[in-house]
Amino acid sequence: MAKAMRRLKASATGRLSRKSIQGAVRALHVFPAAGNGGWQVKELGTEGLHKRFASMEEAIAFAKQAADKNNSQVLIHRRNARLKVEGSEKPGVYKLVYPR
Amino acid sequence: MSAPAYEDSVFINCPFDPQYAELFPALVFTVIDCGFVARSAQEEDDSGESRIEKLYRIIASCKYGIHDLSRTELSEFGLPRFNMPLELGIYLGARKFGDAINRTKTCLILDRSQDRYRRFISDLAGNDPKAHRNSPRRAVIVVRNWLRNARPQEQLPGGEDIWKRYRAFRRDLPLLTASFKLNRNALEFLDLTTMINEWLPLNPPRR
Repeated sequence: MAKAMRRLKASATGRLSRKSIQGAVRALHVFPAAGNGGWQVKELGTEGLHKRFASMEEAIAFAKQAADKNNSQVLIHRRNARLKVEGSEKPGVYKLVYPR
Repeated sequence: MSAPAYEDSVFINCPFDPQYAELFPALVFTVIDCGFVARSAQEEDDSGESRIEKLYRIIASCKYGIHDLSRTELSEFGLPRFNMPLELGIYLGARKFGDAINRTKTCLILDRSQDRYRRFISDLAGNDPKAHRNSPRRAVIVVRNWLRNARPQEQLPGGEDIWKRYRAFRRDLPLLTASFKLNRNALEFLDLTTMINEWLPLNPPRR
């Protein structure tokens, strides 16, 4: 993980680039389920994939596998966290890391 | 990036206060889903240009206008909020006194109830304002039906279909805004329109 850390951030005018929005729209989102725990993997939209897992690790492993197939990103959301993007080993797949 | 075509541009004249946060994205989504370009005074932030000059420029470049008067009411200072009626007046003035292109303008006037305008802007009698009753679903359907009449030769998605996909978009919006650490209720207009434009191809209307 020696690759340079990148941040998803707004441009100087506060606007996001179309490319970064496109990446987030087409990404697989991994995020905590509401209520009694567990994690979810979701593609955005009405027809997209949506699955639930017991642990974050399982959810991430599944999401990465699915993302490999369509060369999309995996975005991992954790509550109350500062967002960063970290280059992964595989091109086209990125992982959002939230420092504690 | 080239400017959107006059015939495709829809100027959305509405308040930008938190109480309107449920209606504004619904209007923007409907306009884009119907194949038009949503335009707003919020789309640019050039301090070198006065707000009224910016409004003149955007209004001149839009064939269509949606003017929501539903928040024309007394402010905390006991004075009426009159920006929306003023912008509607500019729009109607451009249609009446403008050049041949501007005389092709057409507009939709919205309010929260059908006849409320008679109490504060009765000169609009005959312009047939439509009521959205502060309901985003109702606003989606009214705007869609108006745009349908604007382009009768084209097949637009149905109002209920747009509403269903708009709700799906709203469910996805927290994940999108969280990806950029943004407040979903304080999105830049261009960020919102880009998100909608990128999201819609993944969720096409039922034909």
